Amino acid sequence: MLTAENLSLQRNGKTVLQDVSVALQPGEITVLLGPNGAGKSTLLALLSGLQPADSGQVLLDQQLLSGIDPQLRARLLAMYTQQQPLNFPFRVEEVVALGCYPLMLGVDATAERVAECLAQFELESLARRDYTSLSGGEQQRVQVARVMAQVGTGCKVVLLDEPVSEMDLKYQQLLLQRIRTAADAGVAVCCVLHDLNLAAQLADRVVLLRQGRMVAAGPVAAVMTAAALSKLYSVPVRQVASEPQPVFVSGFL
Amino acid sequence: MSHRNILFILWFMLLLAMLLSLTTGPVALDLTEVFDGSVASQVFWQLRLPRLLLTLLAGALLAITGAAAQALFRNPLADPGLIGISAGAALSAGAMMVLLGGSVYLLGGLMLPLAAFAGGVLTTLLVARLSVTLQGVSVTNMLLCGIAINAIALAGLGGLKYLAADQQLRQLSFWLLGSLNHSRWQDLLVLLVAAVPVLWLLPRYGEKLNLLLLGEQQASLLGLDVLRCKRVMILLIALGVGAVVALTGIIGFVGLVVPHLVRLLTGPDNRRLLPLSGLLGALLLTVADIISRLLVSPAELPVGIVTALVGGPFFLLLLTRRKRELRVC
Repeated sequence: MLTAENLSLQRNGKTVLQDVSVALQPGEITVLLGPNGAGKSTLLALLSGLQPADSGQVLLDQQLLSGIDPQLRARLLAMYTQQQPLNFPFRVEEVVALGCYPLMLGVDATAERVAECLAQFELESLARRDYTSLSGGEQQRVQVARVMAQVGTGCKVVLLDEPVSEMDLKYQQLLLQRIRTAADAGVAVCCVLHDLNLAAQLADRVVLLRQGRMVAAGPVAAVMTAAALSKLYSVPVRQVASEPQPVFVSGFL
Repeated sequence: MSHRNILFILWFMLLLAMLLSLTTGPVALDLTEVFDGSVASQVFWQLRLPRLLLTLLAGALLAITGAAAQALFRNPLADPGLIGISAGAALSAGAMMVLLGGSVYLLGGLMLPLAAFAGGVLTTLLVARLSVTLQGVSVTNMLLCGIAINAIALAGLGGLKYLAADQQLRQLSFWLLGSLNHSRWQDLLVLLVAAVPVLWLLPRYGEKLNLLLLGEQQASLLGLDVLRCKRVMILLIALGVGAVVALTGIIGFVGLVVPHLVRLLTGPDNRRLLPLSGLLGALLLTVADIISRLLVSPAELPVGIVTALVGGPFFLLLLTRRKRELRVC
């Protein structure tokens, strides 16, 4: 279980996060919602240990995350970040293989795992292509596959920052499925999404973040109400269906 | 072509180039004369052999540090010469040469390499500080930083020339052009002190540098101690470049051209790129040295002129191919 207690962070005198507490339970998918600049990515950076908080602490199974050796941490926690600055002409399969680095597999086991992850995101035909020559959506699939390759047997937490932002419908659903499989295996997942309907489809729990503060947290039905979402994004949101899951439409038009 | 074949071909060509280098020059030399105490054998032991060894080590060091710098800055244009590391090392060593005069050879000739190393570390830190951010590397900043440092170093070296006595001025000028001319056994020993850790350790960082190419955050999430890795890289790059600059002056473009050629052969994987760059660097500098001796025989051109004549146009070619990417930044 990953727990964050009273995280606060200031940057250049501005409050980025204020007293945020979350608990990511094993087997549970938490979706983070909030407008641009709400502090979602920053919260994930703190939860991953990439960035220290000004105050508050992050615990992984009652252990201070910052005290865990980086190599061990990489086996316990994987994260997909929004920026992917890779600009060297690696092959797709080489990029995915880099995700296996913390698992310390042999050559054969790595190749097997890479093939498995490529197949999960239907990347087999691109395996030997130059990564830099791919489209944005394809690159995102490769990077997500790399992160999922890192999720081995001992992995406890997966953090995903807008992992579907450039994917088409089919790959969005493939990834959602893959995330659910990981959660079912006991991983605690936290995922930032902007698509309300995808969020409602994926989430066990939803956390709403606005201007660095947590405004609501709880099960989908309780938190994702038209009123709360309209206020969160400052745009009219209507719920048009509730079965099999809540469906939202939004807009001024 | 498989990795094994490329290795085999490179080693074979290197052996050929070594033989050619030993036997080429104003004095014709037959390898059967090496042990007979003749003039030819003296030329071999006192001139040709130390020169060849210096060339091999300098070429390997320049190329492998170039490849490492490109991984550190996550940019294939990051050559230690272009981004000012060589110039910083040269300014520092040049100052030592002029200000200390004859006492440069204190500490068994270690003063110049130490000064060059210190200059190299300082400039690498400066460039890294100005161009590497969490979001990525600013190519513009990196190259502009190189321009500024090169300009400052040039001005500083100009000032030093003004201060220098005649004898030092000549020494300084030839040294700056990049020359393999003054190879003595004791210099080789100094170079070896730097070359052993650099050539031994850098290839062991291949996989870590691959992670770093994904981005610093991504590498950190995969378990790499990024700060520590970057520090080791900066020290090794500065050590390699500093030692070479101290002994040969500025031999440009080897660190840029060689890793590029290797990437064309085997792709960007640093586990193969680093050792192969060392090998190809040694080969290319040996060939460049042979050319520099043949072109105006019995005199010789400083080898830095030959590498710049080949490397400069190559760099321009790269720029035209990368124009689109550069404009984005």
